[in-house]
Amino acid sequence: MAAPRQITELEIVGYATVLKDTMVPSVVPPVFRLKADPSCILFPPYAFSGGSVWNATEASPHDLERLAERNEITRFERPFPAQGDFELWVDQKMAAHYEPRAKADEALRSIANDSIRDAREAFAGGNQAEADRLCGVALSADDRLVEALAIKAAIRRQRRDAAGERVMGKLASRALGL
Amino acid sequence: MSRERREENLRQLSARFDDYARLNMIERAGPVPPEAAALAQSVYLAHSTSETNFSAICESNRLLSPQRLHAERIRALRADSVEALLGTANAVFLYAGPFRFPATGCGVLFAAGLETNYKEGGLATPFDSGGLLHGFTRIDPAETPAAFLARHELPLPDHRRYLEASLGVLFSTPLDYLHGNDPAWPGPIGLTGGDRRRWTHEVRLPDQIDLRTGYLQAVFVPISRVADPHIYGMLRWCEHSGVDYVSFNASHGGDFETLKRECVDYITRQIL
Repeated sequence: MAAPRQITELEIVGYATVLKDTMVPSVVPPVFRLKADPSCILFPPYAFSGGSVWNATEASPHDLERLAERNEITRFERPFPAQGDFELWVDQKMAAHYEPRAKADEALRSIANDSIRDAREAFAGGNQAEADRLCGVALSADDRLVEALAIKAAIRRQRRDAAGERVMGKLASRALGL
Repeated sequence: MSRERREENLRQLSARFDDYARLNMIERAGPVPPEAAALAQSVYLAHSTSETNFSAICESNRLLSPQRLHAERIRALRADSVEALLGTANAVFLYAGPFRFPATGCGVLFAAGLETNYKEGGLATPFDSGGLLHGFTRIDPAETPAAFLARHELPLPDHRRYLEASLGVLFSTPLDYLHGNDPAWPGPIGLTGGDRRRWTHEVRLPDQIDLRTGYLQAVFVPISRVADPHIYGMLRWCEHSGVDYVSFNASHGGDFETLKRECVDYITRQIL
């Protein structure tokens, strides 16, 4: 585990996952690099507290390269400075955004709400495939949106897909913390 | 390396373990604690990866070795990769324990019984082999990492006897192995540095592993990833086949801590 690092000492070189178009929008965990020592890379899991990053896994540029080759992380072409209380997220066009947490949360909530509204309309209009896709977008933006799982379950019921309906029911239970 | 050689490695390592315990006066007088025996015998084989890799695994229904990935033109195997340098590129890598590979978001557990299918071609080491090149420090730097690795390759599933002894003697409680807390005693292997992978048993199985078999114990995915058709297909198959799947909220993406905690909770519920 690395020593705590002030967020202002860090820059962001990528994020610790690789996403497909079926997985966005999504908040992603940054991979940090020490500005003063570019050979020091900080991977999640870590915790943020008091303007610092705690308990990160410290690694080398070799590890960064190795993980990128394995498709475990996504690297940015140009690093940018880390900031306190900011969130990194990837939109539906795979563009990364780094902005204040409240603004990022608002953007994701808006995408989730719009997608659910459109999913309801698509479902009511009999367009199951589009409703299913839009529910996926909503879930990617906010995985506590039980309505998205409910619509997905309803689609599977219409298709007489009992196993699929049970999957959505179980996921909804987990989303509700049951 | 032959199975006979791996059995000889286990004999030698066990003898070093006994000497170490005697020297440090930590020998166990009675039987190992029941948790140590249960965990060592039954702890699952874990593999975790990024969401995109996991989607591809679900689609192909296979975990592939680096060499197989290269042969099928999915990912090139670099000559300077850890696996190429250590001669382990033909293996699929698993941990006998919870998910340990950091910054991963999805994973699978296989039942311990899978090891019995690989008594000849499979093997285990009482540490993560990749750490020998990046992360761990060996006592004798003159010995090559490959030679050190070869000395510690143990047979399947017999490496679990060494795991049981370790859990019963080196750790304050066997649960520390599960939770990733360092052992109270480092043991006879002589590695320092790195993280919990320094003492987590790695299991290497040859070439590729089919996912949808009777050995698949559980699948772990964030709820949001049900939107991916291949991951959803895997969950649906699990539901249909009676295989466990564990889903969790991870709105903040790639939440390895959550994945790990869910895995530890699951193993605890199932085994202990």
